Formats: sequence, C-alpha cells, structure tokens
Amino acid sequence: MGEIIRWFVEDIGTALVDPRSLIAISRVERRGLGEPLLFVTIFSSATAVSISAPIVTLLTLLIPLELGLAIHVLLIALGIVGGIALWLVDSVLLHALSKIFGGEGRMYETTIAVGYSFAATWPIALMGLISSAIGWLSGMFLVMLGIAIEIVWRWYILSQSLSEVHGFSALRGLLVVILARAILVVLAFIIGMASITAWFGLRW
Amino acid sequence: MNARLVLGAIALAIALLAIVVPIAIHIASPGKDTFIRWLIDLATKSAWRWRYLDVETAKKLGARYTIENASNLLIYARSSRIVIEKGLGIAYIYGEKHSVENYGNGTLGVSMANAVLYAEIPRLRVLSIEGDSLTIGIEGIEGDTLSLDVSRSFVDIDGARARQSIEIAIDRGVLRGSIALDANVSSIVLKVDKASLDLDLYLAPGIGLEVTRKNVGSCIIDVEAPPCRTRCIPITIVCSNGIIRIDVER
Repeated sequence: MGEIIRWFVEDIGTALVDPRSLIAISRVERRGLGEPLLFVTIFSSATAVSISAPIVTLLTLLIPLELGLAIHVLLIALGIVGGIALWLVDSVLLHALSKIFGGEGRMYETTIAVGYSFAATWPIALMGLISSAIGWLSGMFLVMLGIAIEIVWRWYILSQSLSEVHGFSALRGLLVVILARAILVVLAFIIGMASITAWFGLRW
Repeated sequence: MNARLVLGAIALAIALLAIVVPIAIHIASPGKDTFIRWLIDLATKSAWRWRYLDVETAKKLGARYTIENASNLLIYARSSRIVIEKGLGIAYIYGEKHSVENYGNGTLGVSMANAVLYAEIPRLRVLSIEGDSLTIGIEGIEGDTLSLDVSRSFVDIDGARARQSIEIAIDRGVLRGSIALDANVSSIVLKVDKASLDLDLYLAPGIGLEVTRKNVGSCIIDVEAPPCRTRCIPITIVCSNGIIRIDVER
C-alpha cells in the first residue's frame, strides 16, 4: 500500500515537470483511467474550495456561519462533478483538434493526458490556503495569481502530453490547447447568452 | 529522495490541506476568524468549541443582554465564557457569573461577579476588569452618555466619546485614558474612591470650564491653551480619592 501511495505521489511530481515521461510510462504499463480520475477528483475539489474561499469568507460576514460550512461541503461536491465534466469535455475537444492537426493518438490516451494535467491546479490550492489566513480581498488577488500560474503550467503539461500521445511537436500541441481554450470560451459565452435570452423569453 | 517525489508530495499535501482547512476553520471557530487565530486557539484551547447564543439561550445561561443598535456585534458563548466580537476582535469574559447588556450606540454594559473581562477588540479599550459592574464604550462609536461604574478595577479607556454627559465612578484601582467630549456635553462627574484617575478630556473649541471640587484628596487639573492639534482643548485630570465635578460653560 505504501509503495502505491509513493508511486501516486511521484506521478503527481512527474506530471508537473515531465508529463511526456508519465504518458509514456502510462502507455507502456497500460494504465487505466483510475489514476487520472483520482487526480481530477482531488485537484478539482481543492480548486473549487480555494477559488471560492475568499468569497465564502466574505459571505460569512452576512450569513449564518453554519452555512459557511455547508457551502464549503457543497463546493467540494460541485468541484468533483464539475471537474469530471470539464475533464470529459476538454478531452473530447482536445482529441478532436489533435486529430485535425494530424494527431495519431487514441481518445483513451488523450483522456489520460488531460486527467494528469489537473495536477497543475495546485498553485490555486496554495493561494487559497494562504487566503484563509488573510483578508478576503487580498485572498482574491492571491487566488487570481494562482489561476494565472495554473494556466501557464497546465498549458505546458497539455502541450507536452498531447505531443507524446499524438506524435506531433509540442508547439503543435500548444496550438491545439490554445484553440481548445478559445472554443471553450466562445462556447461558454454562447451558452451564457442563450441562457439569458431564454430566461428573459420566459419572463416576457 | 527524488525531486519528483518531493514536488508531488508538496502538491498533494497543499491540495488536501486546501480542502480540509476551510472546513476545519468553520467547525472549530466562526468564519470571521482567521486561520492563524484558529491555529492559536487550537494550540491553546483545543478543547473549546464555539457556539452562538440566541437571546433566549443566553438568558437561560444567566446572561442578560439585548442587541439593538450595535451593528456587526456578535455575542456568543464558548464553553462557559461569553464572547463579544466586533470586527475581528474578541472580548472574553471569564467566570461563572456575568451578564452583558447592550445600551445601543455601540455601548455595552457588562455586569460581573468573580469575573474577568479580557478584550482583544482594538476598538474596545477596556482591559482586565474585575468588579461588579462596568460599561464599555467602543471607540469610534459615539454615545449620548458615557458612563463607567467600576470597583476594584484597572480600566484603560482610550478614544471613548461622549455627546451629552459623562459620569465615571471608580471605587478602587486605576482609571486612565482619554475621552473626547462633544460640544453638547454639559457636565462631567468623576467619582473616585480610593482609586486613581489619569484622564485626558478633549473638549470642542470655544467651551469654557468651571471646576468644582469636593472631597478631593489629591487632584491636578491641567488645561492647555487652545488651539490644540486636533482642534480641541485637552484637559488632563490626575486625581485620587474624591469627587470632581466639571461644569462646562459656553
């Protein structure tokens, strides 16, 4: 058991600094989706709590403090569900774009690569943790800094991983990631606008 | 130990802590408490649990207080102690018999027997009070009347403010600090019995003074010439063992 935990911890470190090797090892060892799923679960719930920590701190000045605890528990649940949903959507999108750019990898491997990339969210968790000890406003700035670091780090992991999975250059992998993010932003905007339109349509 | 293992351990530990710590903070102490204070509490008073009191529960426990005009003021019990919190500060009242009363305008009345008040509220300038009854003025919140009634106490007030009148009675101990008086203040009554008084009063400009002394053991009243730096007249009163009444002329 101790050895498995050690491997798991070491895989987090490898995902952060040498994602290409981790993908290669995963391919050789024919690993399943279990470990990436664990990555997604742990890091997305930590991210959900961390991003919202300053806001919850602010809210607890206004609402009963018992609700603050309930909000945190709810956020962890939402983080897990949202993280898994994002994992799947991101995997499909990145795989489709990789194929368009001449990728040769399998969907299964792309999903593993995206799952491992969730390790890059740890700076957000760190900033969220620090924000627990300071005011909510400074906390928000710190969390935003954490998000900025996470974006850069995750793009590095994804570009390297996609390069390994699909057999193209890391630069092409980075291009795929940037395009996927642009599409996600546009999709989010369209869904948001559609929701607002539908809401006002129902009201009027 | 290889670098990847170390980095992985750090990332995993931080992620897990980020999940657990906010929940632990909420369980262990009110949400407004900071993580650092929570850690201090955990280290020093780990057996304690926080809980809030509604007025009825507090009354059942012997406290009598009402919350009227003092906004963002929380009064709750931690073990057998009543805690008053304002902003990020905390005042603990230790002891079995005590009660808290809110007179509005940010003024709290605390009645105590065999109890000690320890205030960590920066704006609540009262420290280590032992006595029968006491009224606390919270700095920055103006009250019509500032009154202190203390026995066997050491009271340190600073920056309290009174609009109409001020009455301070202290049996034993020391009362020191400063009080800013509004232009409407008409009289100041200080009753000192076997106690020392070291008080700076700040009056609005243009107000004269008539001082009547009764039974003053040793009392020095020092009035500085206006204008002072803060556009007011500072009066320093140092006395003990007596009653001093100051009528304000306009």
